[in-house]
Amino acid sequence: MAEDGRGLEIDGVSKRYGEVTALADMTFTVAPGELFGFVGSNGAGKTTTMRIALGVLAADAGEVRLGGRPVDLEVRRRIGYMPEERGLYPKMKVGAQLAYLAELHGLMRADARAAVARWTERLDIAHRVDDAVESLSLGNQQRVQLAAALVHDPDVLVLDEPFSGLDPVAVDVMSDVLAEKRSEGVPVIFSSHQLDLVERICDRVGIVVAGRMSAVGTVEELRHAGAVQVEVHAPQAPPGWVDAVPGARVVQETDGRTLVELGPDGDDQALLAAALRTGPVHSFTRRRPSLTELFREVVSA
Amino acid sequence: MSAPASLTARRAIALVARREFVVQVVKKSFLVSNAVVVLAIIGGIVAFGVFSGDDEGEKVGLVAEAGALAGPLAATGESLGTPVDTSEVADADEARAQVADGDLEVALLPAPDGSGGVVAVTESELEPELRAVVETTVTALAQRAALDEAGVDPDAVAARVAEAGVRVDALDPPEPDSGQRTFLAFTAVILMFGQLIGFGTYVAMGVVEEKSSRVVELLLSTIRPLHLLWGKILGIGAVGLLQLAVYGVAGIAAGTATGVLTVTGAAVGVFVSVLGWFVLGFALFAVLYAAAGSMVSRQEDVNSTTGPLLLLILAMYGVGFAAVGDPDGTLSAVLSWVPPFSAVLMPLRVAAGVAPLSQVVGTVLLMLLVTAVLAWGASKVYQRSVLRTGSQVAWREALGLARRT
Repeated sequence: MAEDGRGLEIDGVSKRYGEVTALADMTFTVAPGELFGFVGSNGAGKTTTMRIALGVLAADAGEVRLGGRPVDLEVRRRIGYMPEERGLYPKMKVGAQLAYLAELHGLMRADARAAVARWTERLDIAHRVDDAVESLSLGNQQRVQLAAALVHDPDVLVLDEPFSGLDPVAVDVMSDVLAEKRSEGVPVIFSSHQLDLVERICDRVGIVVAGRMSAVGTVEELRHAGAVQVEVHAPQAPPGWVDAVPGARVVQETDGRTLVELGPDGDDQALLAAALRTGPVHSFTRRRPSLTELFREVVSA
Repeated sequence: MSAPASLTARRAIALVARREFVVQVVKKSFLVSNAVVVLAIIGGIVAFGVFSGDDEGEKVGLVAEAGALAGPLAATGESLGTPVDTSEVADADEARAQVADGDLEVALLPAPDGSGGVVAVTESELEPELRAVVETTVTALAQRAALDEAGVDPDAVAARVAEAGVRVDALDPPEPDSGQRTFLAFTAVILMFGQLIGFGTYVAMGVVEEKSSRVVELLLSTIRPLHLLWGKILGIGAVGLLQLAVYGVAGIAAGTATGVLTVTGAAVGVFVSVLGWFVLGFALFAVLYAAAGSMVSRQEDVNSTTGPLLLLILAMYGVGFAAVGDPDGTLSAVLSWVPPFSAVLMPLRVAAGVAPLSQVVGTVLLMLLVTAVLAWGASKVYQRSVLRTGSQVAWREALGLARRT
C-alpha cells in the first residue's frame, strides 16, 4: 500500500450539519512513513475528518484515497482506527475481544491469536487478556484500544486523541509504537491537544480551524512561515529605538530587553545595526515560536 | 506482512453470530437460570407424576370374607373412573388402625349380621365416588346371589340389562387425551411468549450495548451494518432455539419416563412446530427489536422504543390464552392466518390437532413474506440510527420521513 508513495489523501472533503459547516474543502496528504499531527480547537473538524476517512460518516463532497485508491470497505479494513469515543465491549475479555476485532478485519483465527499475543505483550497488557475490559484501569483500557487499532497489522493508522488519558510511561510506549509504525512505512495520522508532544514527534503538522486546514507543513516550515521574533538585550537602548527600523514592531519591552517582531519586509541585520548604535548588545536571539504559539496565532487569526 | 483483507459477507456474519452465541451461552446468569428452569421442568413433571397418582387408586383394605370383593371392586372402580387399590388386612383392629393412620382410605369389614353386606370404616366420611364404587359392587354381588337363589342365571340377566344401556351421541366429542393436548398447547403459548420477549429484548439490549459503548464505530469501520445486524440476530436466535430445544427435550423425556405424557407423538409434533414457529416469530420480532434498540443510546431508554413490540407480543399472548380453550374457534381460525399471531396460534392448533397441512404451509409462507418486508424496513431504520448518538432518534427520522439535511 505504501510503496506507491501516495499514502493517505484527504481531498476536498466537505460536511455540513444543517446550517453548520463542519468541514469545508479539507485537503491534505499523509505520506507513507510519515507521522502527521492533527491539531485544532475542539469542534474544528478533526474528529469529523477521521470519521469520514473511516467511512463511519458520509462526506457531502470530496474523496479519501489510500495509495491512490478511493477508500471503500475493503480498503478500510486495512486501516487501524482509534475512535475519539473509546469503544470496546465492556464485559468481553481483552484477548477474545482483540482476536474478534482482528478476525473482523480479515485475519484468520490462528493469525488473529498470534497478533493478539504479540500486541498485548508489546503494550504490556498480556497479563490481563483474560479479564473483562471494564475491570481494567482507564490507562490499560486505552492500551487495549490501541491494540485494537494495531492488531490487524494495518496499512494506515488513524488515531483520534491517542494520548489523552495516558500516564507518562504509556505516552512513551505509544510514541514508540507510532515511531515504529512510521519506520515500517505506514502513514500515521493522529490528533492531539498536547502540542509539545506533537511538536516533538511529528514529521508534519496540520492546524485545523473551523473545518479548514489553516496551516500545514513541518514544524520548521510553520515556524518560518510565521512572523520572526527577535529578542534583543541592549541595556542602554532608549525607548523607541526600534521605530526607525522598517518592518519591525515592538511586542514587549522590559528592562533593556526588547522583543521585536519582524514583518515580511523586516531585516534582522538592520535591526542588529540599529541596536548596536544604542550601545552594547549583550544578546541578539532569533526566537522560534513554539507550536503552541503558532497554534494560538493561527486560531485567533 | 500485509495480509489480504478479504472478508466475505458470510464470514463477517458468521463471526458476529459466533461472538453473540458464545458471549450469551457462557454467561453465568444464563447458565444458572437455565439449569434452574430445566430442573424445575423435570422436577415439576416428576412431582406431578407422583402426586396425581394415575396408577395408584384409592386404598381399600379388605378384612376376612370381604377379601372376596377384591376383584369386583377393582372392576367396578375401573368402569366408574375411580380406580381402587385393594389389600388384605388381618383383622378389624388392624384395619381401624391403618385407617386412623391414613394408610387406608377405607376398610371394609363383613357385616356382623351375616347379611353379606359390609361395614365401611373410614376416617371421617366416605367420599361419594368411593362410596358409589363400594355400594355398586356390594349391591351387584347381592343381586347375583339373590338371582342365583331364585334359579335365574345372573349372566343372562346382566346381558339383558346391558342392552338397555345409554348410548352417548355427542355432537362435539372430546379429542382423546384432550387434557394432555390442552396442556401441551398451553405450554406452547407460554414458551413462545417467553422466548420472543426474552430473546427479542436480548437483541435490543445488544444493539444498545454496542451503541452506548461506542464499539459500533469500530465495528462499522470494518463490516457493513447489515452484516452486524444479521450476525447478531442469528447468534442470539441460535441461543434461543437451543434453549427451547433443551426445555422441550427435558420436558418430553421426563413426561414420557414418568408416564405423565402418553401422547408422545403429539408432543413431539408440538415441540417441532414450536421450534419452527419460534424461528419465524423470532426473525420477525428480532429485526424490529434491533431497529428499536438502534434508536436509543442508553440501556435505560430501551423500553421507550421497544414498548410497542412488548404490547404486540402481549396481545399475541392474550389471543393465545383465549384460544387455548377453543383452538378451533373463529378467533383462532381467523387470527392464525395473521402474522405475527400465527406464531403463537399455529403451534397451539398443531397441539390441538386442528391444523391441516395446507394451513401450516400457507401461514408459514405468509409469515415469511411479512418478515421479509419488515426486515427490509427495520434494517433501514437500523442503518439510519445505529451511529447516531445522544438523544433518541425521532420516529420520523428513523423511518426516513424527515427531510434530509
